[in-house]
Amino acid sequence: MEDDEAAIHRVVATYQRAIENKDLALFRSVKPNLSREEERRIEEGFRAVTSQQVSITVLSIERRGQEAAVRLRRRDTIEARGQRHATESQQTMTLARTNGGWVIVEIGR
Amino acid sequence: MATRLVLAGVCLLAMGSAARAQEPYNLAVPVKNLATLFTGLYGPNGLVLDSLATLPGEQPHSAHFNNDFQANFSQFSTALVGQLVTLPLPSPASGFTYRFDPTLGVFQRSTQSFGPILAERAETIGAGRVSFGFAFQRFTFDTIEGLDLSKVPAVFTHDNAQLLGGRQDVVTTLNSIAANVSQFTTFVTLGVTDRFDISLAVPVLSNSLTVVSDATIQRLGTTNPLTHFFRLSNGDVGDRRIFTAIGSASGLGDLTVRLKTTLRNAAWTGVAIGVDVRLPTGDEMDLLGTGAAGVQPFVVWSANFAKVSPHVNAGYQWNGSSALAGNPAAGESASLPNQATYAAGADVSVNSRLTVAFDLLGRYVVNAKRLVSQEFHALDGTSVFPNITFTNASFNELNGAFGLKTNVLGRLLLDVNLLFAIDEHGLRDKVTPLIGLEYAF
Repeated sequence: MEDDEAAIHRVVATYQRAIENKDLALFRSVKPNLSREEERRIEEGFRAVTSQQVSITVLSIERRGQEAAVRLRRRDTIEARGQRHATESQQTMTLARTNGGWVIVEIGR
Repeated sequence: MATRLVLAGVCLLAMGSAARAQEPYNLAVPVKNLATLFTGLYGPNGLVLDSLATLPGEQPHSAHFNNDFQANFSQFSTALVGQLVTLPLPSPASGFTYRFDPTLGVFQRSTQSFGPILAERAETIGAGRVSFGFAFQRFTFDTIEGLDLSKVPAVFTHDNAQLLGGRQDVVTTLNSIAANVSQFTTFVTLGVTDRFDISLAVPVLSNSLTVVSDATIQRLGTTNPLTHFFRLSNGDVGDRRIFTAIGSASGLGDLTVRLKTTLRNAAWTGVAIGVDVRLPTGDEMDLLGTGAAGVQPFVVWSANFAKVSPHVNAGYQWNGSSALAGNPAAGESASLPNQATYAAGADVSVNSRLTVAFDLLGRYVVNAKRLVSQEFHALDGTSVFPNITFTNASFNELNGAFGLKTNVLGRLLLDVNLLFAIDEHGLRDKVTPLIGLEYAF
């Protein structure tokens, strides 16, 4: 159980790092079911901002068999064209356990 | 502070040569202000010809001639300021706003386009953000109701012409009107919340108005030239005179405050409502403002389809009373015509630095005074002259607009636009250029 939680935390941290480093391959490694449209939006999002810093706090992890619902609070700070903008939100990520470990299958609002 | 060029009643001095003695007297009349320039064109008593004829009982003959031109052409002023107050606030530069995409956790530019130039879109600029801009427009009016402003005919008839005799004489005039307006508008938009903006537009205008009226006596009822004549510059009797009035003014125009809120703002489409409140801060007597408060609620729909962002605007403007719609010379006010305004168009993102915008912009002016061209059939039964008259009617006015918004540096946008008349209704400038700058903080 603890290994799963640790693995889920690592997935969330990788997701955070992928955004901050604008690394689509790293993003895809934790969310392999990205559609081509989603990949396009991610790339556009990376290009649209100079930088994006993400601070994520995992609020709860709820296991349901091979899936887990992760409630988290995030604070995103972007810098674009010399302007800094911050937003706070709560999200629920749905993760699934695969042969290769935990991956994100859906990021909800 | 308005400044005014006044040509005081300067009469051209008679020249010595015989050739010059045949020139019509060119009378430059005093201009008190631009709104009364037409009514004062022929002097304080209107168009009164010289006459050495006497009536029975040795009464002097008052050769007073009338036409709608002098009495009603002051409505030109209403039409002119009506053009200026419909100038929309350029849509603020919200092309640099960013929307959080919660399904991926990244940010997107809320629209790829920098937005329309002379229309509005549903988007607001976001809480705490400020957009600041400046726009310059130059109007050089060309036509009124399709009639070339450099050739406006008007026939003046004698008082009590129906009594015939010498009263059948008419005075035909060919009038040339040059009306130019330079409008410098500063505007600022503040995002109060993510869905509510307040904007302020501060126009400063520089107007010039020149009217040259070439008047000729048509002797249809008299044979003795001393009955009706214009005194020439050398004192001789003639049948032609040129009246000139030139005025200019500059100063603050009517301020407009805009409140706008989005009702619905989905990922690809949005609806906003708002209201423009126009404050009569411009001096209407110098055609710098309407002289009337105005309120215009409006609704905006816009959408974003990849690089193309269509938009539709509709509004209705209620106006108060103004001397410009009444009798500016007498200071009598009347209701400034209300109008429905509408726009439909799209802005297209060519690339991340360039947006092309095009629009159809219209207004339906309700029950306004309109000029009508007609033929004047003289009482002699044979003579016909081109003439104008005035009537009250509603009309639709349609313009097209094509422009560019380009990101020249950082968050600075350069706007360039051409507004062009599609029909001939009302007072029109065939092509009105605009150049502006916008900056979003």
